[in-house]
This record gives sequence, structure tokens and C-alpha cells, in this order.
Amino acid sequence: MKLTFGLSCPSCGGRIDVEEGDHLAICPFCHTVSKIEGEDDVKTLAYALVVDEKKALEAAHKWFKHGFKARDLKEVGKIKEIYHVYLPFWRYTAKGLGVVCGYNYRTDSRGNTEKVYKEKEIMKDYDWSHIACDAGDIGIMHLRNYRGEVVPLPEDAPTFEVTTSKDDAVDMGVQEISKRIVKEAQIQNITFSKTFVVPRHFVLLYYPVWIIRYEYKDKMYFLTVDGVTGQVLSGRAPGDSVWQGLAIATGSTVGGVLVGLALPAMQYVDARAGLFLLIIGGIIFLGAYSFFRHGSEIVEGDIEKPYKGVDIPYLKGVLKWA
Amino acid sequence: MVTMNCPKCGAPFEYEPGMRFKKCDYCGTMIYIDKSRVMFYYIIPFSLNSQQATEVFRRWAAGSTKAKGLDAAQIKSIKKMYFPVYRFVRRINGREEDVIKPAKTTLLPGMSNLKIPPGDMRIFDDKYDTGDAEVIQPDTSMDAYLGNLPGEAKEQEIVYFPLYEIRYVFNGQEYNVLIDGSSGEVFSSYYPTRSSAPYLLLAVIAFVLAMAGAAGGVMISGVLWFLVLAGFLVGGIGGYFIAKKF
Repeated sequence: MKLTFGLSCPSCGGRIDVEEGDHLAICPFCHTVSKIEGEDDVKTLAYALVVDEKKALEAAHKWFKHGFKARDLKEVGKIKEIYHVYLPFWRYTAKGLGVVCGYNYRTDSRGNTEKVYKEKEIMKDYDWSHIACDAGDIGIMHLRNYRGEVVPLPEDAPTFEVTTSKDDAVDMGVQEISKRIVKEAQIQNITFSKTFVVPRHFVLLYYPVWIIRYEYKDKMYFLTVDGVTGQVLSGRAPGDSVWQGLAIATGSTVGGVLVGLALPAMQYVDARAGLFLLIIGGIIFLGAYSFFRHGSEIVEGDIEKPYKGVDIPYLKGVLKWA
Repeated sequence: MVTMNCPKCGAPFEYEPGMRFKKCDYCGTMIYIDKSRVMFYYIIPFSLNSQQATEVFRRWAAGSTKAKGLDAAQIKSIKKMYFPVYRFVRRINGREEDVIKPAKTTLLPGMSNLKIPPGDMRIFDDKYDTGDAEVIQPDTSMDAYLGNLPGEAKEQEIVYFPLYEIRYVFNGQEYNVLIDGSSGEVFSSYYPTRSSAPYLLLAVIAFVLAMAGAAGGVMISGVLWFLVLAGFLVGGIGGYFIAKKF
């Protein structure tokens, strides 16, 4: 049983240099053009690691100080381990075309609401990426940066292996881009939409990331630093009871005052203003409560959180309605 | 390491996981590696040691949904193991699909939704040192799946991934939790939870005080605005203690 096959010109037997992802090859000896099929492999690229260990550590120490993390984290937190790894991402670049029809409601200064019909055509380039292995507890699902020095993957680079299907990734990419096209139209009530996603590139991009593990009071936390931009991408950090107390004090006071003012506002000003105060107050209170309840650990990045995030588009809808 | 030979010049080269094409270092021929009829043994090394796994457990146990004090639970045992799963890459109607199947029946929490944790895969052969970790042997053979999978085979492999099983005791009861030894993800199906009641109660008290203060301050008497300040103080001081103790 043969496991390895040499790729040579079927016409003269000469050596052909074929790169991964090539579809056609020209024999340098007899100039025969050969079509390569069977293995539709994806081109593999990598971004060069430009952030060195020192800079990654600096980013980590800066991160310790920011946000509502434990106040003594910068003194007590001890970095135990730092290493970089090239994470694989499916990256899909495409031109998105779409027609979206529908209507929005608009209220004029006299309070009359009318239906405004809209039709939008969209043509835009889109970039989409998704991690090509299980994300585990790394907390990076999508890339946020698409600029970097493209290099071949360094020979001895530590990489995480690809364990998801590229065809599934393409499907996901097309779906995601279609959604973004429809969103781009900014139409609330959609009656018709048709989108086309014209693929441009599909590559397997290895992206360098620093993984830093640190210890805080006998507990192990981590953060990841982008190896190209030097920014913190994801992480877990201990929270602080003081911030939690402050959050609920501020949130329930501000929220309570707004809701408390809603009643006199409804009575003396107008119902709409009262309702508005009621909703804003409620949102502030719920947001503060969520932080109070779960703020003992600060989680950043694409990590499953113990509470559901605030659904911003839904809230916008509620506010518009009010 | 697995050594293969260039079909043109016979020079050896070392195969690495994920490799599909390789340029021969000697004659420059591009070599295609056909993996459709072989089975590869891969292993993902541990990147966390037992001490670190314990600390990951303590971090997880201190989470907001876990019972207060769970992070100080007594650890009864830590088992270090390599757990096997099968991964099949199939070509189904021109599409490449990944199929993951269990290699070992297990009741361990979180292992029923199969996955291969992220990691730097290595070839698993007799030269690979598994150290003090137990290598769990598959109890389901690959053949049991191969005949029933759709499409044609492209690749098949067995992947051993690193896992810690931590058994701990809390309030006299024993629980277990799994920690992926590569990325530190924690799997657990059952653990002592923390009640939201004290949090909610305090939040509502502070909120109602502020609300009553504002409404009353406008509609009844300006003095009632002090209730808002009371709400802030109750929320702040009470919130700090509840976050620390409950």
C-alpha cells in the first residue's frame, strides 16, 4: 500500500512545483499544463509574530490594572507561564451583493407615525473568520484583525491542529456574510431579501497568539495577547467585592430614581416620557444586578459567560417603540 | 515521529500531524500523502501540570454560580489521563465532513458531547512518553464505525487528549469535575450551586428605597429624597458584604 505520491508531469515525468491550493500547474520542462484535482486543499498562510514576550507581558500587566478586576491583581497576580502558539482560523473573504426590501416606521414632529418603504442595494467586501479547532477555554472564536505580515508558517512553530471541516466553515461564512448584508440595509421590517456571496479567497490562516497563565490567590487564570497587534484578546480575571457593591449601589440608586420619577412624569409631563424613564431605569438596574451577581470573575472575549449578555438590538427596538 | 520516504528518490522525511503535502528536501518533489486507508494515532500533550489543574479547578469553583466556599473544597483525588476519540474525515457528495465518534463509553461529565480540545497534536507511538498519565484504552473498535459512515474515507485517526478528573468533597458529598489538560476548559454536569436570593433581595431593597425616595421627593416632600441616599448606602455596604460572604 502506497502512502506517498510524488507529483510529477504526466507528460514528461519532470518535477513540477505545486503549492497547496493550486489548481493548475505548468511543467517547466515540457510546458504541459496539468490540472490538479482530487485534493482541493486550502492555501495555508500565517501572520508573522511581531509582539515579543516582553511586550506581551507589558500588555498583561496593563490589563491587570484596567477594568473592574481585583484591585490588588497587579501586585498579587503572578505570571506563571507564557508561550505563543499559532491558532488556525478559516478566513473567508467575499464580495457581498444584496437587495433588501421592507419598511421602517417614522414618527414626525406632530406624533403621526407613517410607514416608509425602502429598497436597498448593497455591494461590499466582507471578511469573516472562525477558529478551525475547538475553541476550548482560549476564548477566541473570530479574528478582529486582518492586517499582518503574511509569511509561510514557520517550520517549528507551535500550532494547534485543524479539527473542523473547511466546507462547514465555508457554509458558515456564507451564512454569516448574508446576515451582515441584510443588516447593512438597516431596514426594520424586511419583506424581501436576496443575497449573493461571491467568494474571493478562502485560506487557512495561522494567527500568532500569546497565552499567559497567571496565579492569583492559589487560583489559575489566563489571558491571551494578539501576537500581531499586542492587544489582549480574551481572558479571565478575579473580580472584586468592592466593585460589585459599588455597582449595585449606583445601579439600583440611578435605576430606582429614574423609575421613581416615571410616575410623576407620567402624571405631569406625558405618558411617553414616563415610559421612557421606566425602561431606561429598568435596564440600568438589571445591568448593575447582573454585574453584582456575577462580577466575582471578570471574563473577556468569546468565553461562555455565566449570565446572558444584554441584547443591544432588542433593547434598541424597545426604546424606539417607547 | 513517523518516517516516510519520498516516492521519487527514496529519501526519508518526517511526517507531522496535519501534513497533506510535503516537498522532498532532497529532490524537491512535491509529495502527496494519501491518508484514506491508514489510521493515525495522535496525542495531544498536557500543557497544564497537576498543580495548575488544581488551581484551574479552584478558579472555576470560585465562579459566581458555584456555592460560596466551593473553591476551598477538599480535593480527594486527581486522575491524569489520556482519553481517546475517533475522528473521521469523509468526503460526502463532494463535501468534506468531520465526524467525531466515541472510542470509549463513559459516564464522565461533559464527555458525551464529543470534541477534540485544541492542542498541538503529536504522533502517538511507542516513543511517546505518556509519563504518569493513564492511557485509557478504547472499548469500541474503529471498524464498528467505518462500515456505517457515509461517503468515502479521506482520513481517520484516533486522538488521545489530555484530561484531569478531580474528585472533591463539599458538605460531605462527593463530586467530580473534568479539566481539559490542554486549554484548561472545565466540564462538569453537577455541582453545588450558589443561591441568587441574597443578591436579589439586597438589590431590590436598594432599588425600592431609591424609587420611593425619588417619587416621594417629587410628589410628597423633599425630605424623602434622603431615601435615595439610604438606598445607595444599603446597596453599597450590603452589596460588598453579600458579594464577599454569600
